[in-house]
Amino acid sequence: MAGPADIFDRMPDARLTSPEPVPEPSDEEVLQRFPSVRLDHLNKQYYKGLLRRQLRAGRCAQCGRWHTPLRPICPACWSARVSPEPVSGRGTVYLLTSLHQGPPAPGVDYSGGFPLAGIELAEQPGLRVAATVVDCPHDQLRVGLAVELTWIDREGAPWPAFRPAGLPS
Amino acid sequence: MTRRNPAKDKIAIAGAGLSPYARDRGATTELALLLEAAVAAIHDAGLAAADIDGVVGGGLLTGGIDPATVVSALGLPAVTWWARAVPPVMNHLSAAINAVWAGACEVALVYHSVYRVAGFSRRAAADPFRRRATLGLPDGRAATGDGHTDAEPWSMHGSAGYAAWAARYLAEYGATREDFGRVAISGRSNAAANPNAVLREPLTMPDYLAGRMIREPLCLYDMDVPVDGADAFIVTTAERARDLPSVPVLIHAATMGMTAPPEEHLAAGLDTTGQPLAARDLRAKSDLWLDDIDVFFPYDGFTIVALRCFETYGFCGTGEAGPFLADNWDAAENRIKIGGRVPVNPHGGSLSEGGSQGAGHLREAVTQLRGQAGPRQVPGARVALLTPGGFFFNAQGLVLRAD
Repeated sequence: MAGPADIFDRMPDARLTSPEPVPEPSDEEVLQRFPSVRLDHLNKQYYKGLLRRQLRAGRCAQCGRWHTPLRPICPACWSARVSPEPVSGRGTVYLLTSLHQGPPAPGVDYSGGFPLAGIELAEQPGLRVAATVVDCPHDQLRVGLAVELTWIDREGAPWPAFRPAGLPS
Repeated sequence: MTRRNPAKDKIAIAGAGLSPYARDRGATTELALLLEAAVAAIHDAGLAAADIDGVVGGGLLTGGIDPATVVSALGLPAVTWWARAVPPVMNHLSAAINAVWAGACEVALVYHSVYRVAGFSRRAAADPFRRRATLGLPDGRAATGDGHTDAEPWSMHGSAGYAAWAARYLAEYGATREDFGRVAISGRSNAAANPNAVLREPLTMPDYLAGRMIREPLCLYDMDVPVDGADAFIVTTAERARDLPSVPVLIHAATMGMTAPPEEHLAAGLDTTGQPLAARDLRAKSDLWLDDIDVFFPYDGFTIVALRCFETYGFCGTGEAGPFLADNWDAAENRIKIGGRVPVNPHGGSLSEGGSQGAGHLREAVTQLRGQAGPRQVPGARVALLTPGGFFFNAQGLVLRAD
C-alpha cells in the first residue's frame, strides 16, 4: 500500500518537464540556492522546480485534481498518488494588492507600490499561487487580468512572477 | 437549526487583569507584561496561586510564553491541566471553557500577551533584544506552517491577504474606502473615553482618506496599531464564580470556524470562509441574538474584517455593510450605533486601543457586562456579541451575558 511518504522523492513526469536538458537539482543544490527557506522533504520538489524554471503544483493520479501548495495526499480524495507537475503558466489575476511598505527585500521596490497577486491558474478553478506581477503599468493592474508565467531573480535564484499575457517576449 | 451547547451559561469569567497597552513599554519583557496581567486577574477574582489548577495561553509575534514558564514564574503549586494556544483569544478562552466543563481543571488562568518585535514596528526593530524575540526564520519568514512559510512581499499570509480581499470586496460590491473609514472613525471616537487606548485623538473622514497607503486599498488607519501589553482572565464554573468577590460574566455560546482551504490566497470566496461558518454555528448555539445584544464587538484587526462581521452575522447582506453603517451612524457621537442603541467596540477596538488578537475586546466585554466601564459604560449592558479573529483560519464567535 503506497503511503504518503512514497512521494517525497518522486520526480515529476519527464514528458512534462521543460525541453532544455536541465537535470533535476540535488538536495544539496536546492539547500544551497534557497538558504533561508524552510525547506523540507516535500516542498524541496517545488523549489527544485524553480531552479529549472518550472512552476510545479501537486496533481493527483487518482482523481486528476490539482492542488497548491504540495501536499502529501490529495486534499480532494486523500489518495497518496500525488506528484508535483509543472503547470502551463497561464492564469488570471484573482486577488490583487500593492504593497507600499514591507520588510526590506533585495530587488523589491515599494516606492511605487509592489504588486502582489493571487493568480488563478488555468489548470483548475481555485488553483492559485501568490506572486508578483511584472511588466505591467500600475494603472493597468486589475482583477481579471490575463497573465502568464515569467521568471525574476530573488536573491540569486529563479522566482516565479506573472506578466500580462501576450506581451512580446 | 440548533446545535448542542451543554455548557451554556455554566461556565463564567470570574476575573480579568490588564497590563496596560502602550506603543512602547520599553526595556521590559513579554513575560513581565503577562505576569502583571495574570496577577491582576487572579487578585480580581479573589483567588491565590493555590486556586489555579489550569493554565492556557500564548501570543503571536514571538510565539508566546509557554504555560510551563507561567506556572514556574507564578509558583503555581498544583496545576492539573494546561495548553498552549495560538491567538486570537478565543482559542485560549475556548480551551479553558472546555477544560473546566470537562473537569480537567476547576479554575483556569487564561493569558494573552503582545510584544512588539522587529518586523512589526520600526522602534521595536531598533531594540536588539526585541530583534531576538522575533518568531521564525532569520529573514522573517513565518513559522506558522506549510503554505504559510513565506513572508511579505512574496506571500499573502496575513495583512497582504486581507488587503487583496478588501480590494476584491470593493470591486465586487461597489463599496468605497469611506465604508472602511467609518469603522476606523467610530473606533477612534470610542477610544477617547478609554485610558488604555493608545490612539485617542479624533479621526475625521478626510484624515482617514489621506492616511498613508500601506497595502492597497488598506491605509494606516485600516490596520490595528502595534502595542505592548497583556490581558488575563479567570475561567471557572458559574457556580464557583458566584462564590467569588468579583461580578461573574457567563459564557452563553462560543464557537470557532474554519473551512478548507483556509489560506488567504486560496479561499474560494468571502461567503465560504470560516467567518460565516462561525456566525452560523454561534447562531445555532445561542438563545440570544442580534435583537438581544446591548453591545457588539466585531473584530477589527483590519477594517474590512469588522465590516464583514456586520454581513456574516446577519445585520445586513453581503456587500451591504457600507450602507448599513451609514444608516446606523450617530452623527452627534461620530460613531456607529446599531439601531440607535447598540454601540460597537466601545473601547476603540484593535484599531485604536491596540492590536491584541481580540483580548482587548474580551476584556472590554467583561468590563461592560459587569457595569464597570465608567464614562464609557453602555447603559444596562447585559448581553455582548464578540467575533474575534479574521476571515480564514482564525474566525471565532462568542456570546457573553451578565449573570
